[in-house]
Amino acid sequence: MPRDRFDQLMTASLVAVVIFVGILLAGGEAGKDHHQSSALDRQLEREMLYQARMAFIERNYDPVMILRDSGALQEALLKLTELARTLPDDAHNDLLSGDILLRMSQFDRALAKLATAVRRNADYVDAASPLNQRPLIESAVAQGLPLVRDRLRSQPDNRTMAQILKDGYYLQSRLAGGCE
Amino acid sequence: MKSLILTVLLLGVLLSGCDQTPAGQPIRIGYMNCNSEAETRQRFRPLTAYLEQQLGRPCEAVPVDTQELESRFAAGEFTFTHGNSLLYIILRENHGLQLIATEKRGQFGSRTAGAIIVRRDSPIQTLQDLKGKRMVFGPQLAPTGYLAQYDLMLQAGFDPERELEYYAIPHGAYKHEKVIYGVYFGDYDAAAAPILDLEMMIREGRVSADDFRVLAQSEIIPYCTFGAAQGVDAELVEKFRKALLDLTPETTVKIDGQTLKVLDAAWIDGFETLLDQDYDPIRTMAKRVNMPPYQEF
Repeated sequence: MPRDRFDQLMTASLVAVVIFVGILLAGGEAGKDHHQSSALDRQLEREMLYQARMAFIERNYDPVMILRDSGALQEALLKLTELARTLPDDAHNDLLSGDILLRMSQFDRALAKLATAVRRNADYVDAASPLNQRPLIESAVAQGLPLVRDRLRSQPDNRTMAQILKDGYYLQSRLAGGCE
Repeated sequence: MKSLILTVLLLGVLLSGCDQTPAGQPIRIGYMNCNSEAETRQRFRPLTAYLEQQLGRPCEAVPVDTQELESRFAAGEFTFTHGNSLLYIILRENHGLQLIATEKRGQFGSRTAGAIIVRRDSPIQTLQDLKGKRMVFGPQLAPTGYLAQYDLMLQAGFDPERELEYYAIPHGAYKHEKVIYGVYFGDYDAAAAPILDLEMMIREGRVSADDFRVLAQSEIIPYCTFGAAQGVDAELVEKFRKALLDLTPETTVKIDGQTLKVLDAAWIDGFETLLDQDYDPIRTMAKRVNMPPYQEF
């Protein structure tokens, strides 16, 4: 029980502090909830975007992948040419072109196409992404870069090869985790 | 006052010279007709005007029929030539043509291929199924419209002279397109199609990739090539090569008051310097098919 005015003041201050801390704690919890919920929203949004992208790829590029997998490589390339009419500058067109050109042993062209694909969509070198194509890109770099270097040794004035060497190094750097 | 008048006159002379054609004997560039003479003139006029600017010498574009290019080149008509890769080999082997640069266009850049195509719904599945069928080829000196396909068949043990029921080469201009349409409309069972022409027709929406099946495809070989006559001043050759390699999609020239993109007008993506040995697969094909410059009678 408060015995004098000072005790009453102390009690009132204590009650005020408890209420203030309570309010702070309650507000903090709400912020945390809000933060967690927006992170979840972002994750969900990203997941939905990936799913939409995967569905888009399947819907548009399935015929190309069927031709490719059956060994009809030139027909697959021609189908990609046709798709570029309706979906110009789409990264997946470049990626599949790179894949097919690699299977046709056109290593320099494959490196150029894959570099364009990664510049347009970095998910292809992200191991955690559903669009991850690291094994394909690693294979193109491993097979193509030594050949491009050899060509430049015998023909240092070949500007096309010099540009493709840059593309190869760019892919190598992106695979190693480097940025643009 | 006198010096002011002289300065004004000098400036006038200098400024009026900006748009003038360089003086001197023109450098003649022989361009192989791809489809027609009119098309060749239209395609290569801006490129020739650009070369004129870069070389500081007047240049003349001369469209030439494929069959006449060798004899006219041998007669000394051209300092530089632009033709297909088989013509490059013929002129190199027979007349010492120097390799300058190779044109880039389409999926394979400075290279391309020849294919034997059939309609998607055709019962023909292999080259052997062509026995007794009707086929259409491109012009005889076309590396990816005739040579490559003829060689593919010989390599598969199929003699087109004896085993096809009939084969034809279209008359007149636009032979490669006629070949592709010949199969498309069902006039022939199979066609010798240059992959690049097929790619361009698909890109332009004139045919669909789903209309055809590729029955067989050749090795990927160099595409159209610029060359210089033997004995042309080395400095001029190097200047010519540099001018071609310096071209970008943004390079323009002014013709008849219009600003034109040089590469766009010529349907070219750019140029690459290849090595003569890159053309060896074509030499091998020409030997197997008994075609110039290795033809034996």
